[in-house]
Amino acid sequence: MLINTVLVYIRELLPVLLLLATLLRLQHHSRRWLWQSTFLTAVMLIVLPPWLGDITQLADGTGLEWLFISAHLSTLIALFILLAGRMNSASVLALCAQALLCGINLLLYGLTNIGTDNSTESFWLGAVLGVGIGASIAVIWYQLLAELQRVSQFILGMMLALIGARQGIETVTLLGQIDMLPSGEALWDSSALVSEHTEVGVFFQAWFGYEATPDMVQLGSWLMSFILILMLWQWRRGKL
Amino acid sequence: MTLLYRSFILCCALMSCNVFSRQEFVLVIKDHLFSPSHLYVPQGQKIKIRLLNQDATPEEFESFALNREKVVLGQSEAVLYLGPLQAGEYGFFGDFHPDSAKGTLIVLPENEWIQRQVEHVD
Repeated sequence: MLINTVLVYIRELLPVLLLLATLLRLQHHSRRWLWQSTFLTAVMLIVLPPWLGDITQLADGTGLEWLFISAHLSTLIALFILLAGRMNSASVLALCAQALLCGINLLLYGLTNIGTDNSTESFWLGAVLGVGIGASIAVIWYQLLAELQRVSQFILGMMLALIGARQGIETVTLLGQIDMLPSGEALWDSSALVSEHTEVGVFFQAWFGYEATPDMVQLGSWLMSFILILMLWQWRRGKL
Repeated sequence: MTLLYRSFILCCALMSCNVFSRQEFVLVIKDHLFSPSHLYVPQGQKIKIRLLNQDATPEEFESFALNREKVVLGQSEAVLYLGPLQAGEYGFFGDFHPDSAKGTLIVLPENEWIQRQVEHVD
């Protein structure tokens, strides 16, 4: 129970924290967007839970997928807007969308454990440990980006592109899950090399949307999002 | 404009046929266990799995092999679309109770699937 909670918390928090660390490196002169995002996310996570049951039952039980697709697409669009120059509003949108995804999943996980015999204490301990480990990784990530930025600014563009590519692959995976896109055969199976069960697999999944058995649609969307953001980054650098 | 409208209606109709023509299977979650724990499905076909969560708490159907992750709230149901799949075994588990909620989706080749259907009719 304790280990499961730690793993779930790390897995859900990492995408938000890695995005946050990258945005902080990108916009270290202003922090207004951070407070705005925190406020908006808090409001959404207070307003949304009572409607969660109704949302999940929408569209033949695919409502939650549509909500998650919207969040991933919002993040991807926000990254495009960010590179087009509107950094403050884009950062708020990206962070809120990712925090919403994380918040809903943690809320649902919390519902399974809080109040049940023998598990409440383990749950809270696991949650604290998960938040602690996730925050530690984010701090290390922030410092690592700062060091790499000294070598080349391109690193930040690469990180944004990887985060964007994750949104692309997650979107098409969810569309496949609700039968809006075809699911093809896996192009390869790299689970022997890096399994999605392992810590490295979880980290890679949170960082750039790692899939051990991707199909053509998933790979295509990943590459397209990655290349588009990288091209926008280069365009922005040329413009500046 | 009319042509565009008709094309849109046709696309919607084809998508609907695609969704509704799938063979449906039921997977029940009760006491944090999947039932059946071994679900047999045919190879090379698109299928629909109806997840019925009879527990009071939510569960998340997760499968790395199938690239699927689906939350089902307590005392409710959800639908999962899969396939076409190659013959083989695909593990899945309940992400919120991974120690107890475990199962395997067994995809059978066409001849074995037909044989299994005949045995069950007999």
